Amino acid sequence: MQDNSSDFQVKLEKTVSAAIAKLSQADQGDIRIAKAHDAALDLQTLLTRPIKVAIGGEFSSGKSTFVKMLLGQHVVDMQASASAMPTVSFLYGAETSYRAITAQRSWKVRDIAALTEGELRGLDCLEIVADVPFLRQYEIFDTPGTADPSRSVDQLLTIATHADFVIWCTNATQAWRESERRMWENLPFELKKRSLLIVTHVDLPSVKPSMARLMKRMKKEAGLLFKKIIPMELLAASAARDKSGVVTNEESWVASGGSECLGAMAAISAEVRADVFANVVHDLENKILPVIAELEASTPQFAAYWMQELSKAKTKLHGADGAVTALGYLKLVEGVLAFIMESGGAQSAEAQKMAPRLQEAHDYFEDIRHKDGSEQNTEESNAIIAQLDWEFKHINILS
Amino acid sequence: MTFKTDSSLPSALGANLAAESHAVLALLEQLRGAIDGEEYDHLFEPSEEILKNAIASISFIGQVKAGKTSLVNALIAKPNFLPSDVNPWTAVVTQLFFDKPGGPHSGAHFAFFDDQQWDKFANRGGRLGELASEIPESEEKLKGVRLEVEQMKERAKKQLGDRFQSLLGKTHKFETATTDVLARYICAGDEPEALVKQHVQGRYADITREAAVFFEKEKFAFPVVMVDTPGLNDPLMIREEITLQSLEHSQIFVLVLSAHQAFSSADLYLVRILNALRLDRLVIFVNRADELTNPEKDIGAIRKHITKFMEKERPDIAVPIVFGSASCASSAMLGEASIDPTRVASMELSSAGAAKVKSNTKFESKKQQQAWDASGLPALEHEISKMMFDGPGQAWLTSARIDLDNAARLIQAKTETALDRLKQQQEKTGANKSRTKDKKPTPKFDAKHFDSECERLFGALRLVVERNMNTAWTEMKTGLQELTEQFIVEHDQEFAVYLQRAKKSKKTIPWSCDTTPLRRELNIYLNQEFPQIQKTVLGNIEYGVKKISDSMVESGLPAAKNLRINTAELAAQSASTSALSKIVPIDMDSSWWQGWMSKFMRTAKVREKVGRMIRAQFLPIQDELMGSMTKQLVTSSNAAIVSYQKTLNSLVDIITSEAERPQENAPKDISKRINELEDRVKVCKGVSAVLKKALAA
Ligand SMILES: Nc1nc2c(ncn2[C@@H]2O[C@H](COP(=O)(O)OP(=O)(O)OP(=O)(O)O)[C@@H](O)[C@H]2O)c(=O)[nH]1
Ligand SMILES: Nc1nc2c(ncn2[C@@H]2O[C@H](COP(=O)(O)OP(=O)(O)OP(=O)(O)O)[C@@H](O)[C@H]2O)c(=O)[nH]1
Ligand SMILES: [Mg+2]
Ligand SMILES: [Mg+2]
Repeated sequence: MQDNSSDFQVKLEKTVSAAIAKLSQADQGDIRIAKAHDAALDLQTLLTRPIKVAIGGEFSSGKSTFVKMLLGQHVVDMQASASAMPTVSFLYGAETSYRAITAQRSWKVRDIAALTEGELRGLDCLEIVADVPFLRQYEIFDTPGTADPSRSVDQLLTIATHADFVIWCTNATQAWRESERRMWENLPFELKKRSLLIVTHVDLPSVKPSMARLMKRMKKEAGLLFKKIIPMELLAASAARDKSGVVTNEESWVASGGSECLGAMAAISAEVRADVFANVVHDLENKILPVIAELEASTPQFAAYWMQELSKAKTKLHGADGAVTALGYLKLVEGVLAFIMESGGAQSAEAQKMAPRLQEAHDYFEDIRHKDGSEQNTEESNAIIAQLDWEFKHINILS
Repeated sequence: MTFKTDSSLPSALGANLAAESHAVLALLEQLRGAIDGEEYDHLFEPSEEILKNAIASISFIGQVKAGKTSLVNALIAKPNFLPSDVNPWTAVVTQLFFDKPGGPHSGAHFAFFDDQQWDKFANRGGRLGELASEIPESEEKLKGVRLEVEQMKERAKKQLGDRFQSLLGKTHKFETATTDVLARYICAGDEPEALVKQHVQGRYADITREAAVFFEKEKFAFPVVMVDTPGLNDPLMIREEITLQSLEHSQIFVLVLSAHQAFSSADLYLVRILNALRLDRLVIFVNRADELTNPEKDIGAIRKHITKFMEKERPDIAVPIVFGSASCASSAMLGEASIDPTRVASMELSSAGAAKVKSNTKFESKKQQQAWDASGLPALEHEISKMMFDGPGQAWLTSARIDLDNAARLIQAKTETALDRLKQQQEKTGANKSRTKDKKPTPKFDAKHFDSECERLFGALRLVVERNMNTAWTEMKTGLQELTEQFIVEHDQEFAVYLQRAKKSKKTIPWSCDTTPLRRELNIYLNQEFPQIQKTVLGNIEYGVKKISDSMVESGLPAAKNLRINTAELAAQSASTSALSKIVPIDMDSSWWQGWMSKFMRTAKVREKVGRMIRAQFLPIQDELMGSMTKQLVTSSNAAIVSYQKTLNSLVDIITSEAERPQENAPKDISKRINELEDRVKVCKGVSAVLKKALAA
């Protein structure tokens, strides 16, 4: 499944890149071309973007510890009481850098530790770019804890609407309380369905021996509200991998729930990607490929010659009877065939492909020009020409 | 048992209250010993009743799994007695009585709901129901609770089958309370899948309204009832409701927080409810401190976090915060094998700065003692003990002292009347003429004068109190309004600046008017003013009582001079400012903005509107504040005056009955009698002197 989907992804990426290459050479003054070009660029970012994961939970539930476990390294300071941190987003980048973001503006920050509590509270987001392999696949949003009496707005609700899925952290010692259930209730069903519930602190002796009973209740009360519930020993999971995310202690990585958690995240990502692919295919077929088809069908010389000859013939044949019309078109077709033959390889492959169709039309007109000059002949001839005209324009799609 | 508890040590919980209470009762017994016959028993009753029935009720409240049950078990020195679990578990308010006045002192009672109580419960009776408007809650939540009551009944039917109906309204009694028995009645238990046949955990929990377990005094020096409650913020909302409805029956509250997430919105909500119910004897116990990752660092941050909110919610009192671990304390009692040295070490780190507190629990092993001392339990007991003494204790003691003093004075008056008579007889018989010669004659009691004076003076007293209170309220109201207007003006300037900025940027920038500063100012103001009014009322009463007693002395009741009015309750009142917690921030959200932008309302108009919004929110709250405070003071001052009048009437009864006693012949041993009565007067005076000193302190 993983391989298939990545194969497919490679294919789609190639198609989209080719489309971008073609469209960027075409005339951007044409609104249809410009739009298709933008759409293709969007698809490219959509295909290559990391999966967005929002980490939610009440304050001190272990969100930041969980993020640290994912990243394999410590980036932001932690404390047991509610911290002043705004949403912290972690993105991939070769160079480490920080940005402070508010609704109005954003600016570069040298040293996070130098930000005062007041400054931090004023931010909507603190963006951290780091060279962490994990971030190539996932963009992580560590949100401020809910149920914190010093915060009146829960940023999670806003962040979650932009995320592909949410990971909710609950502390095993006081797991899944009413305030958590009520917060979770606010999120859209589709999102909840592909989200995870991580039960932290399960290493503590006060809960470890009773995990089976705890999980039984959790499954009953929250089972339907999440894709999966995973108990985790975060500190042990962190210790089981090295800085670059390579597992160094397999046994502990499995026992701590780390392996199950990353597995579940990968499975959800695959689902998300499958949805993305469906969107990409849809947009390609509806918004981008038709424009490219037109573009290619109207290779300047060939199309111009056809249009020019056709309009000449049409003016000449205006009001003529059936036999004359057929004869006129016969001459037109002969002329175009000759043009293709003369210019040989200089014409596009598509024009070459039209040659047999032109030959067919040629034979037809030869056939009917000897018949009585009836109305029917005129109509038939016009229909054949209209068909040919259409085929010329849409040859890319047809082939 | 590898440990001993000693209720006679000064470090025992309630020791100081018990000592003072015993001292008052000893005086009472001294007085009783000095007189003969039972005719005075009714005079001793009020003070005796207060002290002999006194029991301090301490509720342990907090969110699910904070460790309330574990903490109660550790505190009563019975680890694992009440059942606890990783899942929400305590389902019934459980009262553990120690030395309950009038008994019993062993066994357990479990009372079941009946239909009527169930309805009352589902529809929130009691004080909590009355205060509904003060408690911010969605109607939806209460609807949910009602639904759950129905489900609870259904579950109980499944658990109990045919017996369900017959059990309603009944009580089950046990001679000995074991953990197994308790588990059947007070634990949530697991959801029954089918009809349950055997005794399983939680079998009766759904229909149990109240659980009570009884013990001797054991380690406590004063009668106490420790109340374990179901946790708040349980997805089963009914548990929260059960606890909230039980709050008004306790005097002291231990808010148990988990150190993992100390003081969340759910805890703030509970503190506000306590405020609304005017229950302000609160200790915060931060449990599970042994589970902190970095105790040294975390403790400071947690304390800061909690303090920040408590200062906002209760600017008038400093709520003690104790860090501890119920499981560390239990492990000490369970023996060396169950102690986890790393946890003890971590607890020692977290209590490093705290003052050492003596405990009346002593262990044989050093390791166990160490675990107990580090558990925070000794400090918690100390805080509870202090609160018991300062809170309900002081009120009990003062009341009992005043009542006993009045009794002493009445007995003294009666004795002195009898003594006078004997002396007159002695005089008549000619003996000891010289001794009583220069004593001025006691004025004769004039009942008519007494009655008319009583009516006049008590009427005047009531009038003065009422009038002064009215003036005070008017002043207070103006004060509150001034503060509000001042806030509006200050805010207006801020808002104008903001409006200009918003107009320029043509963007909808969310704006909110934080009314917290106003709330704080009003709170401070009320807490300053209330004691002033209280003082005025107390002064009025004191003055009125002086007038009355002077006049009574003139009416021939010299003993009236020494009678006291019992204003203990009035003096113990504090400002009820809970209505202030209803104030919410005034937000200008984007829809409001769009309305404003689209109508091109003039800036001045918008500003006016904001002022109006603030006023509209504060005015009803002001009225409510005034209303509740008036009621508080009027009720308690009236009660004091009425009881004083009663005491005066007792005095009159004594004097007149003595005066109306038919003249008898002088007894043969008249001088012996006189000596006896004089001794009795001396005892009365002695008792009064001791009480006077205690009351002055
Ligand atoms: N023993 C143990 N401790 C944990 C675990 N997860 C988190 N912690 C500890 O729990 C505390 C709180 O964790 P954080 O990660 O800061 O919690 P948070 O949700 O980010 O908190 P806020 O940012 O304040 O909302 C820290 O002291 C962590 O070390 C766990 O699985 N086991
Ligand atoms: N490590 C540690 N564990 C504790 C402590 N206090 C309680 N626990 C554990 O926490 C769990 C819950 O304790 P309870 O005493 O049942 O909590 P509760 O507040 O009464 O819970 P409800 O009655 O369900 O509201 C149990 O597994 C206890 O062993 C503590 O101080 N330290
Ligand atoms: Mg955090
Ligand atoms: Mg409990």
